[in-house]
Amino acid sequence: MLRKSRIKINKLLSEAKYILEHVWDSFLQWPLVFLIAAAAIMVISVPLPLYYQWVYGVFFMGLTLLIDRNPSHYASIVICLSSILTSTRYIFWRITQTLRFDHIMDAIFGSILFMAELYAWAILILGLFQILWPMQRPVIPLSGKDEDLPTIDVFIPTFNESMEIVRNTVFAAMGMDYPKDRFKVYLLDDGNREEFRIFAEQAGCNYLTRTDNLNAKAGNLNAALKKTSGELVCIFDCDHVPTRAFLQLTVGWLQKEPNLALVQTPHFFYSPDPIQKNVPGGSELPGDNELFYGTVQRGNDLWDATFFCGSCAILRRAALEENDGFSGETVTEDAHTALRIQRRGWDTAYINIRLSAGLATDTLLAHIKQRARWARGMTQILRVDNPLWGKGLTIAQRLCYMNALLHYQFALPRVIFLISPLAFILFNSSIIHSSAVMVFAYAIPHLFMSLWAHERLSSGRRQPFWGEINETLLAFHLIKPTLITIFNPKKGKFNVTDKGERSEDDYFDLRSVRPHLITTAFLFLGLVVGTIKLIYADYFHIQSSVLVLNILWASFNFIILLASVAVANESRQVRNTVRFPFQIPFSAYFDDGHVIDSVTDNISLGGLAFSLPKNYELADRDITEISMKVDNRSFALPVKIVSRSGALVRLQFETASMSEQKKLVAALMGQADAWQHYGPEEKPVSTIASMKHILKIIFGLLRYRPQKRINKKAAIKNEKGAVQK
Amino acid sequence: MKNAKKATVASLMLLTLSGASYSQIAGAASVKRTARASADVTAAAVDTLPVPATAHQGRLSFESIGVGQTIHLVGVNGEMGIPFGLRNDETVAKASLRLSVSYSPALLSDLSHLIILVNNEIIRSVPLLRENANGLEIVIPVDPAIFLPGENRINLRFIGHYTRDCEDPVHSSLWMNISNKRSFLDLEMVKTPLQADLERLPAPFFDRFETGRLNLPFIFRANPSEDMLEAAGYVASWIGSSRGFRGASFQPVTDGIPAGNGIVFTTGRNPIAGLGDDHITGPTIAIVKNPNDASSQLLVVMGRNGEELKQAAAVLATRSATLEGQRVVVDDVKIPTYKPYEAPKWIRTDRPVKLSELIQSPQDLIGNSIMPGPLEVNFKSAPDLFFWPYSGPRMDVKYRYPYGSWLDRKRSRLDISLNQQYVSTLPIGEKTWIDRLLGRDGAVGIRNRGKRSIPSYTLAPSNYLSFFYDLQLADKGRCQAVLPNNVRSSIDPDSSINLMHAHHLARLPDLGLFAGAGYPFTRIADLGNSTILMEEHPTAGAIQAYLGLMARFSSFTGAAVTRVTVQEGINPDRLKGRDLLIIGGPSLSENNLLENAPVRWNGQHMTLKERPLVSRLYNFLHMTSPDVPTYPDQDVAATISSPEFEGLMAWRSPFDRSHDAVALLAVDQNKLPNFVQAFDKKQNDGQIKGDLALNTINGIRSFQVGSLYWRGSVPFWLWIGYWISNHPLVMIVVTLCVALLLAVPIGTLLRIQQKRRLKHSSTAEVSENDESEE
Repeated sequence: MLRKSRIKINKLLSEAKYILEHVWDSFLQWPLVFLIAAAAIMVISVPLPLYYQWVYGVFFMGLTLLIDRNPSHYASIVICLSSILTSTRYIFWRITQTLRFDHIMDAIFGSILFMAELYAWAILILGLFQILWPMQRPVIPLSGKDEDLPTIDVFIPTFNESMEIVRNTVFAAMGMDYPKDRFKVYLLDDGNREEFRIFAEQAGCNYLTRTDNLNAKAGNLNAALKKTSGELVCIFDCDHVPTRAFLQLTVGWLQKEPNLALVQTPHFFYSPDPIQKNVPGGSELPGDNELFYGTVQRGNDLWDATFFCGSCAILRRAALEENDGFSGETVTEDAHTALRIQRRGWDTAYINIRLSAGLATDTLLAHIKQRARWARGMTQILRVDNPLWGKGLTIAQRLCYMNALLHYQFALPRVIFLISPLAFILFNSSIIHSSAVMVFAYAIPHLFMSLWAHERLSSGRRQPFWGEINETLLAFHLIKPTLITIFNPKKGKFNVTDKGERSEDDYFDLRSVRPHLITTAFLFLGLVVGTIKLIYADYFHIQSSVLVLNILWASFNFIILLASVAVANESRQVRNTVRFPFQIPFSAYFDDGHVIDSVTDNISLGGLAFSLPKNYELADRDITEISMKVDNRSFALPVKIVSRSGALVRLQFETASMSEQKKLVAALMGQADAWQHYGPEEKPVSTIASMKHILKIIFGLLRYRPQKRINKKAAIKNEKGAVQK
Repeated sequence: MKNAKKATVASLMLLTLSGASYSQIAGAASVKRTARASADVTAAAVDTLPVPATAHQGRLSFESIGVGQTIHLVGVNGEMGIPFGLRNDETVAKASLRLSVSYSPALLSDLSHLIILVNNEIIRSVPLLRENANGLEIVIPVDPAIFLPGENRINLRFIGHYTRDCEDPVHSSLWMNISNKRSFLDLEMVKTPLQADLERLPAPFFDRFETGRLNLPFIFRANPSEDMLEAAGYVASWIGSSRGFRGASFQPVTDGIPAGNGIVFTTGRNPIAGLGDDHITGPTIAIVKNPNDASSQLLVVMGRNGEELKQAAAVLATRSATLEGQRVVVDDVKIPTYKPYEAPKWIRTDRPVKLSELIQSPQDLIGNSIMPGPLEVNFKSAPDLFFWPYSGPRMDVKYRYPYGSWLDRKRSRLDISLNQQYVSTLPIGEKTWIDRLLGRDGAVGIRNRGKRSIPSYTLAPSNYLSFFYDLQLADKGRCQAVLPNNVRSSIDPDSSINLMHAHHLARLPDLGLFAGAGYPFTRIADLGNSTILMEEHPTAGAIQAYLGLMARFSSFTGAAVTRVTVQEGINPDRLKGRDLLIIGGPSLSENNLLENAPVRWNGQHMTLKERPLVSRLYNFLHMTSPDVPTYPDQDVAATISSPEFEGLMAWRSPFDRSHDAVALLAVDQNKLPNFVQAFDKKQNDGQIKGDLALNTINGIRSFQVGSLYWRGSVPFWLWIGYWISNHPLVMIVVTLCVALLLAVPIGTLLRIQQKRRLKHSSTAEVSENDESEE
């Protein structure tokens, strides 16, 4: 029955679309525009009495669910428009009917909440516009003979990261498929380390350094620009390991479009980010960046507003030189550089293929600091180089950039939303001048439809409510950077993200979530007080419907906060390197000369694990070597057995020569399709399932026994020794 | 809602505990005139002129002077004040007060008593003995000198105690009842005719303290012409617009001058002998002694012709010139005219109106004692106010209340009601922290402010806005309850009501608006756009009804009807562009006047119009589905065709679709004046609506016979918005259509944009992306 209804709806919708297309083509076009404008104004502004508004809201939500069964673009646009109309109707009602306050305290609280809601509405509209049509840019192959291909300089900037990490990147970069004489790899060492210089010499890549450290990464790159001359400049962060196909798949576009200044590719992480790592069931969650790279940048690409993300991208030197290099005025120099280049009329592009992979931030603290820097930088751009004014950008570009910049202002509104229900429960402050049922009638369709539209357009790249949890996690820490920067854009230094630090212990990062815990405590207090007031409603002379509304809201906030506190539960990082669940065929050589062919269960840069064939006797033998194929040529690595449990044998790689290491990197991380299907499956998860998961996490947290030390020392240690990012 | 009912019931039953004053209560009194010849003066009784007497006795029951229910005094110190009025030209010769009381048997005989005061003079202090608790008749002679012309007041103060120690001042055994039906004030009044002087107008013809029904004959020489009728209408409206008007009967007299006060209309062409009207020099107003009754006076309005007569009447009615002496010529006086919706009594809609403009004295908004009773503001409003999309008028209330530890601030509140319907509550709160911060700790009172919206459905043509302070005592321990003294709570006269966002729109026909506000005629306060249509030789009943209606209209608007036109006989040309008020009998159905009316004359009797076949679609589009019952049934239809038919009906003017017609018709026209008076009867409250109202033995019954239409001016987009707000399903469809429609060009634009961006790649690759969602 459900399937039949879906077919019916599909038919209805496509017929409607067909008819309407003809209507638009006909002479009715201009009158229709006026009519639609009038109708839209009417739908937004006409207030309905309570019962009618409920009817309207419920019907419309039902209609949305129906239309949602149709997977076409047309249906997406219809749902987006409905969501925009409903949310604008809500905001209009808020403005005209609910902003009347008796007390000055009410006025203050109420206006603050309203500002936050206005922000959310603006972001909703901009956001929907941005991801309405994510473009899937196809790959253009390289054209022309080898001698005609453009020359490329590959920059790998580093500051204080460890050799282990940087090494792999250099190896992979040097192993990219491209005529060897047409590209050069440069290691830009801002830390001026002897170790790196020696390594570069041995590996065969170029080494650049400078005497000062002005402007951090941007300055580093600019200094390198002056010393190099390739037509194209390719940038990889020192932990982003490119696949071999990187240049092959990206340069084609730069050849075809001379006005193209940038081709950006996704930042993919092969290690779990703090949420995936620390939260039970987190490995099923898509990474934090997935929504941005999977959907948002593609939407940006439609409007020629893709911006540079600092790594995994290739730029045209001519454009950079026009801009006097990378702009170092803000701490997110990447986005700012792209903005300035685009102002000069250059285009940008985005290819949604994972052509490189890097390390996610290890700990919550590092994650927070990274986002704080991004927030600060984006706010600086907002103040210093606002995309709304100034020449050189199309309207669509302005809107897309504004959305990106405004997005980082979420901190204050998010905190406001978190604590707003307390205004009524604890302080009896009526911050919305309206009956509770009326608020429900208007707000529920608005929230429901914006959630639904977003979910539909993000199609699995972010599970429901995790966006809120993410934002909540960061909100408290981002308030100061954003607010201070809004008033004083020059303040704030470039603090660097740590990568690759090892934490020796399980610990609970109390310091990072202290504000969350305080707010949770307040919310809990609010819930208790609210419930008491609800039970004794008569004694307290409180309207119970308003109280129920606020309690439900506070409960929701409580759940979200607790879920974000769960992320602070840092688990030990035992291994140096990340294990990949790849199945790579290899041969294992025993010390007594036997050889078996097998396939790895998982493999990392430090070792591998495999299952012995059935009934195979290991006895006391050791495996001394394994060989794998890369490019149809084998190479060998010395190994030794480190552990064995049942049939599962774990091998550790011994020190290998540089060429062997290169080949290992190439085999593991250099395959062109190494990352396309890595990570949790991107399938949409229902709202209910997502909420169930979150509740499980919370119950897990509440049963937390204080075995884990709250390790302040570890937290402080991470602050020192910044790594250039 | 529960609280509102409690508040209103409380306000009716519980009364002041110490020194309260009610605002004026106007009530109709029925004074039995024992010396008069006939009780009701109807048109038929015009021939027998009543014989005046110099003294008359009257019995005023408390009920008749406005005490609606039994007086219930409670607490240690309960008091009630009863205002009543006496005519200025009468003095009291003898008076006695008779009270029928009962009280709590638990009262201590030696400590409890009832103090009776008249005009603040203590007449008697009656001890309340236990043996008389079941019922006590108190008869007290009152010194007539205490009574004053004009406003008087009786106060009944109850002092009660039930124990000698540790007494709860609001204990339930402290009560006393005084019957309102069986307590009387017996008065013997002597008329003291005052000097005839125009300065005293409208006395002696109209005195607002008149306790009986006003009967004022309008005297003409012969059957009045159109001009005379118009002039008479002006004068009737002059009385109607006077303060304290409570209805009157103005019977037209054409054969001589009756005894008693009266108003005479005469032109040079129709002089009445004995009144000195032979040499009229211009529009003149004079006051003379009645030649047939020495103790009464006649007001003579004269002119050399109809125009001058009307001018004189208009000057009199609008009080446009100072009149003094016994005769004044009033030519060359400008009569003010009114634009639509400018009636003086109607609350303004062009700016916020302060409460100070609506009350008689600031005392009206001040309550003394812990139970001050409702503070009332009365105002009239235009009957066709349309507030959508707002919920109604907005109020900005500034209020003061006392501050003390005896006040239970959590349970106390200020309730606002309009026309006995609950509107909102304002909180009795603490001092704000700002006050405390700024050191305003010492204040005795707290000033607070609240903005509220009044729902428009509570609004009526005549409004009673009441503010009820429900002050609760904080719980104290035993024996510690002390009532605070000198507790004053008030509403700032600076508070305002704002109707600026109202439009004028009414769904017609609606006889309720006619009966309650004179709509649509009173839209222009001086009836500048209205024509009264009567038969060629109108009957006395029709004329009296006409005059009664004019007075009624002006009591609604506060303005005299100085631009009304009267037409005897139907002249279609002069009836275009006018609202018609038709008064008379079946002969008015010539010229197809009643063609589309709910009821028409078929030659022998009245018949009901057929039920219109208005399509549902029409009703849907115009929101004209009637919400009033209904088409009359058989029994009622029978009444219509009987000779007892008396009906009021409304429909579109047959001469002009953009104007309205209201007809007051009866087969026996002598019944018309009573019909007009029946509008105000309690049993007919809210019974007049729709487009056909019939006066039957059981009261007035209303029906909707014809089709409905809207009258008024509202911007078209507002109308569309209003219509849509009543049809949510249409709104859903429209929203869906907008989304579906707009999605098409947006989709096309996006596709074009994508093509543009990917123009360098092959089309095969691009088209893959079109319909799939990735």
